[in-house]
Amino acid sequence: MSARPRRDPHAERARATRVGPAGRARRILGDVAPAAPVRPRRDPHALRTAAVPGPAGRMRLDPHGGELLAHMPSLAAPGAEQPIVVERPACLILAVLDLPGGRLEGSDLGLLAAARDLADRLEGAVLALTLHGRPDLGRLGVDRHIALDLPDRWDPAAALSVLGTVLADHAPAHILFAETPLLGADVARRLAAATGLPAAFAVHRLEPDEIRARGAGLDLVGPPPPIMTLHEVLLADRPEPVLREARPVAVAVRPDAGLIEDLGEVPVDLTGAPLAEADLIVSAGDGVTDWPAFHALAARLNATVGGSRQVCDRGLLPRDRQVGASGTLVAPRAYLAFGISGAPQHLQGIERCQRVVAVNTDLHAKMIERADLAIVADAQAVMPALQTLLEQRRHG
Amino acid sequence: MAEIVALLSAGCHPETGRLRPAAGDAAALALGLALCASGHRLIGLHAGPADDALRVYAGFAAFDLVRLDLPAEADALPAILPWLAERHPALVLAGARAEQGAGTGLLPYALAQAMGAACIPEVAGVEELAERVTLVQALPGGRRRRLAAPAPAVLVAAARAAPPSGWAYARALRARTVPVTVQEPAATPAWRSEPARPLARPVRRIRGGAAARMAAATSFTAGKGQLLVQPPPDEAARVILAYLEAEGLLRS
Repeated sequence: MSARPRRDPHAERARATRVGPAGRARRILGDVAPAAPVRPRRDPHALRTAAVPGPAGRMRLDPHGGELLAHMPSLAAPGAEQPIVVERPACLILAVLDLPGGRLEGSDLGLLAAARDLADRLEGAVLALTLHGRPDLGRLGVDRHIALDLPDRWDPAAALSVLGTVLADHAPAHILFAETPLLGADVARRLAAATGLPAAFAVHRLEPDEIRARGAGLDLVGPPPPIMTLHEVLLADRPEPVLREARPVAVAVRPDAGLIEDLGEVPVDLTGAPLAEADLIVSAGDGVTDWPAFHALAARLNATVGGSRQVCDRGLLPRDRQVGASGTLVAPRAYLAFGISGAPQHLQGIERCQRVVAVNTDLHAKMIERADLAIVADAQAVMPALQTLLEQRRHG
Repeated sequence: MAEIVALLSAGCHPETGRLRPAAGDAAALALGLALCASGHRLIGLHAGPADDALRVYAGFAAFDLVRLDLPAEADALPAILPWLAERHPALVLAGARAEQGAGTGLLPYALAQAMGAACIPEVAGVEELAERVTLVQALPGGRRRRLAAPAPAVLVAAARAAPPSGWAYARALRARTVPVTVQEPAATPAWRSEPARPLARPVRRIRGGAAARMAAATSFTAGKGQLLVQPPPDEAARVILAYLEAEGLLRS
């Protein structure tokens, strides 16, 4: 028998095992008992579970124990968003909005986006001028807002006298218009002729030190003049939806009567007008069988008639009425599609429509998916109902 | 009968670069020729170095042609103004913009300002010319509006208006122009001009960094609208009508 005692490794291990500070079993090798841990163990997952959504909507990690997030204003008080205030701007950028029919159109929003961009680069403020209404421009990048309620009719002399007063009161560094016929383009040229200020028209590149304006087959390049109209390539942009002050600014103005007298609109039959320039189109597809009702509705609405390739192929509408990739690419304010399922080529043709109303029997048609107002119903039932309603509206 | 002056500039074919009647000025000439048919006198006025630019317009019809002798790049307004002040025309017709040079479309406005006359853009037709001129203006979407203004007035032809019908080469060759020598105005080169290159497609800029761009590229924008499944026809009609009314598209 040997004198060497037998070791019991299992008992040794059980003796050496203690409960550590984190609650887990720790085995201590050797005879030295461990000192209290200097640094607490870090849980790598805790940071991620404590993430909170930031102002842009993304999840934000905060490794500094809430210190960082406390400085984010939108997180500190989610209910009260403070508007950005520009108290002492280096210059003013005057944006003259068109507001056709008292409504903010795409060109107005593009103009505000361009004005905001220029104002930010020059550390200035955006002054918006609306002649025919008071839309809320707080989230459209506007710092100051002059709103007037002039009668909603074409009156370039009134616009010019208001602009003269605004120029004298506020002395904006740049005056921006959209190059829209009869609206921005017209007023900008009148202003340039009346004041003699340097002007650039159809500006398609706008930098604080250099602009490019489209001429006849050439580009005019130079420093930004006081009066500018913006080409449509600059008007596709939209302002960032950040809350700004849009402080109302009063203007005392008495618009003087001009030489031009408006004798009212001439009634014109628009059903056969060119599709490319129509602003209301009623379009028929294979789902339309009641053609008299369709044409009566178009005449009642005084809307331009359009059609899909199928109906033009079958000779139900003339070829110049075809909407789509191989017909006309249309850009109306509203497009009423009856019985059109929405072939890719047709959807390509109506890409630039502002509003699409579709009436179709197939819930899964692409046109129903594309439409802003989609009605799953038979066009033959809806067209006469719409006609009746229009007649009632007219007579009573 | 009154005298009408049509301002005719040198046209330029956009593809070949050859001389042609400028589209806007040809539309203005069509307005003038329609008035000519009712007894008024039409004068075509061009300010430039060569007769050829004016002669192409004479192919449309026989009318008086006057050319103010100016270098090609000179500003036409200081030359035109004294000539017009001498003639006192009842109407000045112009195109929307030139096909060569800056093409700003400012000249009719500056002319009207200097003459103290009304300037009316987008004119589709002239109905009556006496003490006052009554005319029809083209609105977007094919609509029309009737306007009246005192004569003299400067009218800018609508961009989509048609040129006069029938162009004859022999008539263009036969035309005789009256050259007028004018004092050369001082040149004012304020802008640097560069050849125009095709413009980029209008795009909406996505702000807010990579995450916003990713969201815009991957989000499905269709199907955001209102959907009615098998509504009664009356209700469907009511919803459509309310929608059109909210958009301001009901014209009757």
